[in-house]
Amino acid sequence: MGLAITAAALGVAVVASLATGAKPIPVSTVLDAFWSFDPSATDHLIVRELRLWRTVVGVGVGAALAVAGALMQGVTRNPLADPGLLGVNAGASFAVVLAIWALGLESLLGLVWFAFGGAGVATGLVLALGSMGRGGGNPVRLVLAGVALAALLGSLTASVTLLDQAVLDRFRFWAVGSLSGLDGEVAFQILPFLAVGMLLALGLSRSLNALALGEEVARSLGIGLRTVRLVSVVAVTLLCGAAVAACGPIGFVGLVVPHAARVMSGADQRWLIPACALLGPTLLLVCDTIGRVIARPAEVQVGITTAAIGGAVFVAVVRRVRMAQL
Amino acid sequence: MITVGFSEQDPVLALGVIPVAIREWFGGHPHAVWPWGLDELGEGTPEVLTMAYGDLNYELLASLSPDLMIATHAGITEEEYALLSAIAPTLPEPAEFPAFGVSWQDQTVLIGTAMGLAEEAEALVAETTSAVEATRDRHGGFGGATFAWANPTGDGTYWVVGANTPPMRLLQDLGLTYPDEIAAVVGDLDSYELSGERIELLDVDVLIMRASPDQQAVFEDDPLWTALEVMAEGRILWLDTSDPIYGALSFTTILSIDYLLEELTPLIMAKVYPEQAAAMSAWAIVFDSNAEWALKAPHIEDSQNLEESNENYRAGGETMGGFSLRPTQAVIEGDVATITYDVLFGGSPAYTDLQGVIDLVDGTWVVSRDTYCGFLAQARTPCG
Repeated sequence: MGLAITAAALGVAVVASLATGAKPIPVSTVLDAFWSFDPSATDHLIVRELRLWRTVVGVGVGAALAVAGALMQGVTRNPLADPGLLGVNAGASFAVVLAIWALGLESLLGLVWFAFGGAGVATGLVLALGSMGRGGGNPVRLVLAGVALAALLGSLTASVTLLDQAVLDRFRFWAVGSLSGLDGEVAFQILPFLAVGMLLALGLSRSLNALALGEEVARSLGIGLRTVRLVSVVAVTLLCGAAVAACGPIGFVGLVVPHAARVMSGADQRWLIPACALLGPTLLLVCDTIGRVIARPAEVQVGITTAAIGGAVFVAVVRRVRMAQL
Repeated sequence: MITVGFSEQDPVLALGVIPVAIREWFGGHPHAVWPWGLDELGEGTPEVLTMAYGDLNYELLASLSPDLMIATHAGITEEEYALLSAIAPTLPEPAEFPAFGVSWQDQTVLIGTAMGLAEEAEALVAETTSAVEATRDRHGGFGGATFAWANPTGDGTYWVVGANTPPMRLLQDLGLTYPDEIAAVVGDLDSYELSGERIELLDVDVLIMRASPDQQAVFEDDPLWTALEVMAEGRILWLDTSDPIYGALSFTTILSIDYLLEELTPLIMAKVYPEQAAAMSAWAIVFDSNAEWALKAPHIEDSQNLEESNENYRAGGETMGGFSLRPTQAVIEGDVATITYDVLFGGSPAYTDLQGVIDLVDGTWVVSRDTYCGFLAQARTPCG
């Protein structure tokens, strides 16, 4: 039932994303762009060339970030875990900027591997830091480590862009995530990575359910904790790396969506992951649609609207719902 | 004397002074002097200061013990101004302009006055003003064609340059029109980030676009762009950031304007009046003593019998450092274009405002045998 409602909400968000933008286009024209496409009609081209791919990539990236957030929260048993907060996106972003600056790379397929590298190293590092010391994973310690790592990587990225103004031109995108300027090529290039990441995440569901009962219980149920952590790192790396390579760092989706999804579907990871995969894109597309409307004919980058809206939603979730114990 | 703003090396050099140090804007040219300032720079070797916007290195500036610092195009804050003034007298941006908005006229006169060269500065401004006016008149104000300048941001949006900026004011002074529809969106901003969904606003008569050749190829393949007339009809002027014309437009100073009048106006001409530009280009090629015969031949009547004469013309030109013609105007009536032109010996004007006629034959501009031989006779090269 919960999943049906979220699926319907996603459908509405997709339609809204296709129907709105910096240029007002009537809904009938938007429909014509698909049912009776006229290649000489500018409005049809705007819908098919700009809004369609923006929406498709938005769905993929929104799902990736939300699922990555759910995975990180599950594996660290920390309600504040989030690829943005814990420096995973910052790691991918830094690696990408470094590749642009030092190697002059520009193609997405080249950059995505650097994004994976950066995301993977950051994920591994922050998980290691968070589980170090007595008592294992102390939630506050993990978040502190992650925030510090994100800040460090962010300032390293800033110093690279100061060294080279030309990087700065291409960097805007890497400083604040954006769904603008995407095309079909980007969508097809990140798709396989997202699909593998999603499958891994689904495969981890049972193990994470066991882990939610505590490490001792999980171990006694025959769960290999090292394997679970390793596969999680791989899945988070694929999901966040591909998302960042396509549209730069976007925060809050990975933090907010799993909490909202838990309210609807409960804490069972087998339901939580699909719920996140539906709710994440909904939030991202709604934020992006708002960003395209509030400053017409300019656009506000989605990284800014998710921070504003996601932040508010997060506060509401924290205040209204006792955060599910993980 | 140090130039702390990003474009002041030009007016200072124009006034005959070599700065001790120059803050580099972009381009990476030796001594931070672009091609249009090399004559004025001469043997000078000013130091290059690399300081990003908002990042002044006061210790370095103080260590150079300047007697004057010029910051008319620097975007400095009051706090920065106070610190600079503690090092040496500093000339700030005039209050009536927004940051980086100072006009080239005010900039030149302010700097001249601060250097005790006010009269010289006024004279330079008057000279360049009349050069701008002359160029405008010669091209008929480009028929008031509409124009815009857009820089892709890299993520699907475009920085559109505002009307009240030095480069856009200059192009308006040349007769071009900044469209109301764009002005309504950009307002008073020096640039505005336009959504990719609204590029129809950029469908003007001449569009200046910053793009590398790779980026250009992407746009030329983009159905949204090819749907614009300005793209379909080849009226986009693509400029890479390393192109001196891009630099000269960004600078728009007393020195770079001369360069723009010479290099940019023919390009705009070719976009606005492609026929006139083609006639002028044919005229220039035919009478350039160093141009290749293969390029000339299609534009000369009876060319198969004139190759030897042309060789004599080339040899004659060599003794003078080469003959060349600089067309300044073309008036087309039917299939005939009347070209106004200057004659240059070794690149220096020898005769100005001469006129000649060129004909459109089967789609190609062709100089008649009589016209060709008549001109060669004046250069003491007999024909046939």
